[in-house]
Amino acid sequence: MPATKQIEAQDCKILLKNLLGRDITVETGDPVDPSKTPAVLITFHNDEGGLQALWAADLRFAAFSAAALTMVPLPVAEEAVSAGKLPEDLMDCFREVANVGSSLFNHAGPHVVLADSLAVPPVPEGPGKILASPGMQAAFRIEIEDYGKGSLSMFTL
Amino acid sequence: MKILIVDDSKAMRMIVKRTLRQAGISGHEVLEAGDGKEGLEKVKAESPELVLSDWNMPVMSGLEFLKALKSEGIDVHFGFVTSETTQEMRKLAEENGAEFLIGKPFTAETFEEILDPILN
Repeated sequence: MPATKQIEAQDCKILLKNLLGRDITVETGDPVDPSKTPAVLITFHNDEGGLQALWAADLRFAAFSAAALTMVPLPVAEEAVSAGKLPEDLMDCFREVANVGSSLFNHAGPHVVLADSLAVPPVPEGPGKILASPGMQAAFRIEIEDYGKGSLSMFTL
Repeated sequence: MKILIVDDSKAMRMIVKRTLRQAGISGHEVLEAGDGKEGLEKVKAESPELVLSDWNMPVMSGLEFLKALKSEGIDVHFGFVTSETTQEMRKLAEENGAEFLIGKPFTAETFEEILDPILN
């Protein structure tokens, strides 16, 4: 299977700006380590059904992007961050952000579809292997207008 | 006119409805379904004139839904609203009879440009 090309900050910015309808700033950042930090892990499968790619989002990016998608007020998102876990409705919205975000992988490498979302840690074995030795890794610090800053990392086999 | 939105994400169905309004597409009855199977049942029961369907959904995908409509001879305007925007997927959609494919993320302008000629 061909390797995934590097995903660029500009591509991520354009996608989020169009999806959320807000000004977005994307800078290169430190990778999210979901084995140590409360985070949301999104898994993406390839056309053969195997684990191919991951998103690891800190709670701030997950909550803020989910809230911005459906215009949920900022305090609701901040409450989720403080609680250390996204409620079901925000998780559903964040899954949709990731679903649309799957196109970043699809324009850069093998075709993937969103598979699952889970609150971590602990990180399951399969995703853990990709995180330990990714074929492609992109780490972004992202600011969403009217919401705030958070971190998102993307990994592939 | 009835418009059926088929997407397994409740959030996305809400966003599609909101974008229809922002595009000035109003005065239509908007129906919803959570997957292709439910969409097929809604088409048979409600006879919408336009279907806006996601591609990747559990139970029955958007492509399977479209094929089912065609195989049963149901005549309805059908287009995808999906994150599947590669050339291969666009070709597959067209080959199977989809009239358009709107990529996510979308804008109200895109909705207006593509849907106005169908709805008017």
